Amino acid sequence: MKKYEKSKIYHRSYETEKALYEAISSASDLNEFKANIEEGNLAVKNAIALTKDKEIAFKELYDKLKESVRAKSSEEILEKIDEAKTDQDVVNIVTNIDQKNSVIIAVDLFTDEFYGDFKVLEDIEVWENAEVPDEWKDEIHESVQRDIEKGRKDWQESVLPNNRNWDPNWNFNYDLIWEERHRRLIPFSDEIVKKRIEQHKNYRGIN
Amino acid sequence: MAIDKAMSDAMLGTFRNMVQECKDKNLSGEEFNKMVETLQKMEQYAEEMDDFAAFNAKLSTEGLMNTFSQYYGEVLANAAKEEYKSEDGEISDDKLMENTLGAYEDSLKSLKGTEQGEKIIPAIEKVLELGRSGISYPEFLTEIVIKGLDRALEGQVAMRDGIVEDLEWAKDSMLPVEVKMHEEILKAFDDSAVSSPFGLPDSFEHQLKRIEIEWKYKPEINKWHAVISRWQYMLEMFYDWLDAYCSFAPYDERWRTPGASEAQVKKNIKFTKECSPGFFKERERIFFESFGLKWEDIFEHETFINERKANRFEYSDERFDLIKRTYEHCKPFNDPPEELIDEAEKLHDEKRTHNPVRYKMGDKAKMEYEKHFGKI
Repeated sequence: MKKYEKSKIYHRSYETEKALYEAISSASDLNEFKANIEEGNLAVKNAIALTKDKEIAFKELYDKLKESVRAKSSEEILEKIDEAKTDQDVVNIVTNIDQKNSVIIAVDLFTDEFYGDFKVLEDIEVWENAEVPDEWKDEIHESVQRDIEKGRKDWQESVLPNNRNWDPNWNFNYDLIWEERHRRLIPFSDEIVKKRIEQHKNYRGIN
Repeated sequence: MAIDKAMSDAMLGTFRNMVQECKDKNLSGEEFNKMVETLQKMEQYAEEMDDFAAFNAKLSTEGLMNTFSQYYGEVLANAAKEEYKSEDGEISDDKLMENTLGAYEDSLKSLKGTEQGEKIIPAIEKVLELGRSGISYPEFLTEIVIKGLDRALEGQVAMRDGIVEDLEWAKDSMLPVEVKMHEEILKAFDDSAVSSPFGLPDSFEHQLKRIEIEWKYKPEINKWHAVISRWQYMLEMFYDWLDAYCSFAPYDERWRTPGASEAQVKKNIKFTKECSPGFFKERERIFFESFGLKWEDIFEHETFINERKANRFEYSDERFDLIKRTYEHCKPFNDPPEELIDEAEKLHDEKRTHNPVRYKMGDKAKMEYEKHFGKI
């Protein structure tokens, strides 16, 4: 109880720990103590309180950081946790929801593969626009086309199948790039990002 | 065709051991059966699938490892409830104490001699001393919390040491943004310790702060490395362009690619000579468009200064100077002057093109590695 007394996070845990303490201190013997605990299901309420305190803290943090996908796990846990009747229920509710959302988070992170292609997109832009002698232009153009073919083949044969192992309906969603959790990790201006999006669609053969 | 056995064994071995552990203890019941069924499903996928990445995704998306762990937890919890009962069927505090102290004694044995373990052992020894002092089990649990031993057992000392190690590594590697980040994480840890009731920070509260600090620095870290990789490429283009004019070029692996004919090697060299200036101009334009930096700005930029100080800079001072003097000549349809080609030739023949200290980074990295992880 004392360790939570002045905590900014563990309000509910403090109250349930206090209830446990009062159940102990008011009991005249161990049997009465046990009865007090069981009657109020105080141990499970304590587990639920601790879970709520933590998940509220997680949600507040992820809301502040605009990590809406990561916040979902906490939202769902908070909706469901009061259904727990035993300590094992508490564990199962939390782990099942975390597990489900970890897959959703992994799929959301596939959006970051876009930034991973920036280097090759810059290379293609360089090759397509460079001032070079005429005798090389056809060859450079063919080389660019080969790179694009490779990019499209890789997308169809590797990227899509791998990502669809996690979500069978997955397709790249360019709108997600503009979500703050993704956009903030790309250290280039919006104008450049817009240009790279169009280049990416061509490079990967995405309509 | 099945998943490669070595890979499926590595993934499923722990679960198999857990099932065996339960069998050895003669544990049974509905939860045990479900645990076994879950493992059987994982084994079935290992047999039926041939792509490890798909197999891993399958186990994750179906939550099989999680499901197994839950049932395992329930099997053990049920077993413990029976084990802790005394003759009258009630949970026995003496049994609980005996098992708790037994678990700590076992952990002492496994932790002794390990670097991280040595930091937690004093806390475990205090717990054992407390448990053997004759107090009741409820008093024992209370005293552990009052004395902050629960936090010590979470490994707070080891946690702090881990943060310090990350910071030292970032300093040794001369990664200034990462240094700032780890300094802030360490400060957050120490500030939490000061303000906490027992002088040890709550690990969950620290976890929240750490998540926020790492989130804050990620964009800056990405930008730092994006700038470095682009100017590195630009410098390399000058280096290659001038070397393409040298007599050693036909024998250099940059142009003599595996299996290339003499005609192909000649063509590769000609391509570098005639196209690199145009490519460079485009790179320079993209670099400015991306970061607002011109060629000459590179050498005063904090990323450049840091990379040189960190001895991650590829070129010797002389070769770098030559690269800078090549710039004004690297224009489309232009060739470098003979004197610059002669200089490049000389530096190459005398093996003075590369930063000699850069190759010694291997020794320093080895030394740092051995300091933390023991002799290689």
